[in-house]
Amino acid sequence: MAAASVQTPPARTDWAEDSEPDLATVLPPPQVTKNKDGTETIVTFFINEDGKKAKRTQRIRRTIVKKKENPRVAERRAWPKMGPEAGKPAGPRSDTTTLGENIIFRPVMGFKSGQQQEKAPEEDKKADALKKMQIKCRICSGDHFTTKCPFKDTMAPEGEAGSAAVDMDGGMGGGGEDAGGLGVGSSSYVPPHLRGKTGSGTGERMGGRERDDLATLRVTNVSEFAEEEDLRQMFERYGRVTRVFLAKDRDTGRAKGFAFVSYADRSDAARACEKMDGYGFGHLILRVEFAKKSTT
Amino acid sequence: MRPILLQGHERALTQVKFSKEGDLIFSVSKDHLVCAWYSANGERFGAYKGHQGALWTVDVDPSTTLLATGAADSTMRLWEVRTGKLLKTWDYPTAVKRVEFSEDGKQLLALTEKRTGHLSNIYVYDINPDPEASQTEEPSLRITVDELPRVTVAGISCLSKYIVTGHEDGSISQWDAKTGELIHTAFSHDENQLVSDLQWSADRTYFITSSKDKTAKLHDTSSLEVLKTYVADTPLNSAAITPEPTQYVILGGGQAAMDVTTTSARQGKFEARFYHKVFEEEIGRVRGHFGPLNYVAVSPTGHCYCSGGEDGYVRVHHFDPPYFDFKFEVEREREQGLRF
Amino acid sequence: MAPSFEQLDPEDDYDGEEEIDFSDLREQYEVRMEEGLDTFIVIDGLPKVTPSQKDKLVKFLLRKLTSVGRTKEENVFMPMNEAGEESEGFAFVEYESPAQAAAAVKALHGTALDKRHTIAVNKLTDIERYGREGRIEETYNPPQIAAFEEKEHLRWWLGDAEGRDQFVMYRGDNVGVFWNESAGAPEQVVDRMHWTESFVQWSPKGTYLTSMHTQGVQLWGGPNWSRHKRFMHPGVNLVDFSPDERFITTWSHRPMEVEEGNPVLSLEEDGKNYIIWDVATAKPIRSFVTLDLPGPTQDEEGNPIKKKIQWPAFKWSSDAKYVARMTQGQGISVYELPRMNLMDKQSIKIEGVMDFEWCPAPPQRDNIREYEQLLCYWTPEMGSNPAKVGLMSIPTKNIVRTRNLFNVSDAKLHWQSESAFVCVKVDRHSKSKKTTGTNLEIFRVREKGVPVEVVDNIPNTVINFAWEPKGDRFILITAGEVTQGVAVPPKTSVSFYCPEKVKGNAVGNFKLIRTVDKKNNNAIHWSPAGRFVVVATVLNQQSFDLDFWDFDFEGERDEKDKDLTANLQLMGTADHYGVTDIDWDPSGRFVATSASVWKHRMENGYHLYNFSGTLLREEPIEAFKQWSWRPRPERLLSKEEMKNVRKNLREYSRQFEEIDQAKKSSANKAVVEERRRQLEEWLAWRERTQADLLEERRELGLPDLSEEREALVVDEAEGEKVVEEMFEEILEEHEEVVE
Repeated sequence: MAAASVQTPPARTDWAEDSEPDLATVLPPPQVTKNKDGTETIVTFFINEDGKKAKRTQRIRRTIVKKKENPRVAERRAWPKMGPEAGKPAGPRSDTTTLGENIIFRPVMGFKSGQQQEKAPEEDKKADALKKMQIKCRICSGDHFTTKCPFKDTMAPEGEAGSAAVDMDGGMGGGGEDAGGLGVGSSSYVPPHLRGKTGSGTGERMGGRERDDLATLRVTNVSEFAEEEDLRQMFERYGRVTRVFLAKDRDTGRAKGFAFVSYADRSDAARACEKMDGYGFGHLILRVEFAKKSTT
Repeated sequence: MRPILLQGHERALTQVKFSKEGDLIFSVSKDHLVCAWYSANGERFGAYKGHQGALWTVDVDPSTTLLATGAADSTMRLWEVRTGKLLKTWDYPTAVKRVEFSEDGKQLLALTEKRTGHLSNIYVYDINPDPEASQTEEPSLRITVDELPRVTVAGISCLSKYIVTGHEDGSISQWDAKTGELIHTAFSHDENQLVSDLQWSADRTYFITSSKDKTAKLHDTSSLEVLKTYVADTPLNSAAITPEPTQYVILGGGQAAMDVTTTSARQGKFEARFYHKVFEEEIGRVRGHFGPLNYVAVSPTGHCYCSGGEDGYVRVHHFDPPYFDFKFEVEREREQGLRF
Repeated sequence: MAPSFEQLDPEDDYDGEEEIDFSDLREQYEVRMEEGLDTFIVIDGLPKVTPSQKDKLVKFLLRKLTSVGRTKEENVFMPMNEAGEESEGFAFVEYESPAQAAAAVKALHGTALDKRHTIAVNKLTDIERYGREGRIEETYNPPQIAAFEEKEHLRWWLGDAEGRDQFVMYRGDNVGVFWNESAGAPEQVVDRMHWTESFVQWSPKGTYLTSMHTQGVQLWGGPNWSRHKRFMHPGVNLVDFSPDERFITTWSHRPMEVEEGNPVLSLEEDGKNYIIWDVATAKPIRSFVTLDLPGPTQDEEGNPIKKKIQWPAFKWSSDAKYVARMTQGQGISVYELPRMNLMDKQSIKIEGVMDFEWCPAPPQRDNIREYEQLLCYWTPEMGSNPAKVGLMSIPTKNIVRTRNLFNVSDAKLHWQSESAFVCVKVDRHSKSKKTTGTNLEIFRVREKGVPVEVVDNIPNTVINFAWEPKGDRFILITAGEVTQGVAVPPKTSVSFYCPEKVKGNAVGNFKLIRTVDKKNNNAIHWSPAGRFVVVATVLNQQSFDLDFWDFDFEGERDEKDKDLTANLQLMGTADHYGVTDIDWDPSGRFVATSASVWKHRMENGYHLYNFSGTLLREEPIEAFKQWSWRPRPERLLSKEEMKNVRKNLREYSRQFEEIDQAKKSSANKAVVEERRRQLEEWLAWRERTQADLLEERRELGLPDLSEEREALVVDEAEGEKVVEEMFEEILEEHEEVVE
């Protein structure tokens, strides 16, 4: 039932400790490879601005710099490393230390949060590379994002069903583009948020709200007095919930016993699935699993 | 500036602290681990193993010899920084949420959590700076907080005169550090918006508190008067004061469950926000965390700062010259005026 | 048997209103008219006749009287004088109903009987009301003339020193007028709750703001936004101004019910839907009934079919000398203003006419010196006659040009803003009646003989077309076939046209510059000054992009475009989620895009862009309904004066820039003062506390600096040590999204 990308965290103790969902568990650790010219290639995984898992590949060279320091500091520098670092060679280890993307941080008067954080010039190359990103719809392989596919509602992708009502209030903001199937297809489509815009574009795209049906869970054995809000709050712990559909009896308004919860991110859904399955709610124990495409 | 990402933890970070010279960073996380890093290049120095619950807090003494940690396993432990050796364990009925050395390193404060059946307690111990020496079991002061709401943060003021606490109802209280008597309570933050952090200025004569009410406030230590207020648009988890000559404060926070009412297309507000300490105006933000910032700390040298995030990363930033050169027009004016 | 439900005659519909007995209320509140006397009229000015002639006179009168209503000889009472020799010269006539009496008064009053006698006809009740003794003063008192009150300056907003434009926003229950401050927050001029009940509308020259209410329409203006005019039209739905703001048309879908004694409306207006008013006097000039469009009024099940009303139904000529209404399929009625009499006393018969449009500006046809206004109309195929497009000159009614069209399924008329061209977009169908393509028949009005240029080979249906204001270029949007079963609208293509470059002053033939395919755009909004245009997708849930184009880009021109009179360039694109309306400001500097709550509720509010597509401001506002820029009247400067301004622009702009800077810094002065104070305060406090702390430390025998602060101090004696640190240098890096 659990998706492959979730790692089980070590030695979990008191469940009461957890007050916030953990993002750290989900990403794979960085990978390092040594290159022939003495440099190293490091691949780190992170979640980008749009909430998608992304990887950063860096080629680095290690250099030794001599600095003058406070004598006590110098002394500490000379201490042998201890604990898990004992015996390891000098210098930052790539499994624990990586360099992030260069940020130009300059305090300004009248700072407005709408301004984009400037990236250093070499980052423009990266931005260019992203511009050439090929878009392919997962559903019909057309050159549009999956969410914009005209067949979205008729040909749901790969075995996950989305059912019924759209919850318009769910998950506004940051609706990332679902760039299904990168790298294939030779269209020259440039997604709007990457087109060269004059001035500070807003990019306030709430339309591309994503209801990734791969991240929809079916929750059964739901108490008949349950409400959508209860479910939303329970499941929000694990990530952004874009939609909650609680099946209700039309006449009485009571819950019929099952619900669908859609997440923005599949890994959130996976984590929620794992954690909420077996959760006691009301007088019943919930069953949570990934929603399968209905056979209609 | 290129932030250095420290990836030693598998769970969310709860606190990060610089050594007093700013060369080491100590990080603690819910993964039961305490790590030490060199701030200059992010190289990990080592880790301190022993706690059996999520770590909530850490502090280092002024000489960077002793390290104190508090955890959900209801213990406070004292370690030798250099070797990682566990020197002392104090047991309590509930989790230890804050530990702090006094400015002279001679006293150590521990704050234990309020839980059903147990009240918040503050313990102050006299500490022997010699790592080889044995440490006292009994506190020199114990304050049981029974009439005030749950204590969330605590610290020892300058001259070790007062103990200042922050509470879950947004209030700040001042206690006599010798007698444990409650002197004064100030209702600084919005009602029922808990105080999430309390950090001192370099000389501990004033301090900054952050709260879920989306503001951080600067207080005078002796009067608890609110000197400045910094308004953000997200609940805050932490706030720090940069050491002079820079006059900034850094705030960190963010909401994990997406706040639906905003129209920002960005993924949440996981940024460290910089404000001018005197003019209360926002002057910049630094992005990068993909989870809320749980703690921000500034090196006592003022050359770098680091933030511990819910995402399990510590990000260390060494400032570029523009950061130090930045001045408001009145500051520049004053500078030039003084020259003549 | 007792009547049951099934036996109820459907004709006797339960009309709720009638069943309720209002009679007691009526009794209480009804204005008492003289009972039964309102069917009487008094005819005065009759010749005095002898008894023997009386019958003849009565019969003579009856002929006239019965033309307006039903009456009989015995209901005509012509009194004789005391002596019985001759009639008094007046008569009483009783009609069947008061309405007939009123009609008689209207029709016959002031008409001539014969050469020497003109009758005066009045309602008896009127005479009673006005003529009874004591009602009218015996002595003549000259009417008081109110002292001259200076009215407010209606064009005050044009005098804004910064040349800002105003706009009105209707959100929730509030209507507010604001100055546009480009990037900053708009400066509020006025904001009132419940100013209007349905929507607001500016008059064409921006003088008035019109508000709609159940009782009628009100006009507000002047710096105080006082109510200037009121037009009582109960149940009004739509309003339209003449281009010069002298007249206003109001329409209600419910026919009016005018009561007696209505101070503004007379019985003339009873039962009518349209009223044309004179704005200055606020008096109705003429009223009309809605013409039902031909076609069934009920569908198969007997449900009434809602007909879409064409608005404005009364179209004004460019100088408001004429107003015309089309009776679809029959003809066009042209009325002359200000009296609203039907021109030449008859409508222009154009059999089968489907649509017509006046030219929007005085036309300047080659070699034509006399005054004329042009209207363009079209008729479909009828029997063996092909479809026709015609250009008619008013008032001569000469047909200046016609053109035959074949295989026409529909046509739309588009005048260029200066009446230089009128484009007829013709939807053609093949023999099998499927729409195949579109042609544009462009009448070049200014050229001799009004030649018609055809632009054909346009694939698919043209869903939108727009001329450049004051220019000779146009844009059209075509949409592909609607595929069955797909919920998504087909992709559209945007095509840009301009005339070819030719020698001299002539305008060349129209050529396609470029077509952009695979778009979702469905709306074209030109800047009022021309050159810039926003092509956008509105009212679409999945697409909401705005493309900003420049037709005269001053950069490099493409090789293939060198023979064209345009250099088309896409300046920028933007998005506005859920955009429903796009409006340029009258100066052509700004574009406001709004999402109205009348169309959807997802996110409402507005965005403000400059002409090149840079977002200047966005404000989401709940219950945002309407945005409308305040129009400006035509410039008063002559062409030379305008040329002069352009020439000296550099000097003028220097002045303006100085003003801008001064503005920015003066706003800051207050802030700077405040900061200075804050800094002083802070530093003073720090000094004090540091001094206090130092004192206390010394008193306690402690060193000046606490241990933790001491850590940072490097002793001279110790000196600094050299330390080796390993650093990573990034040589290359890139990022990509992972599946």
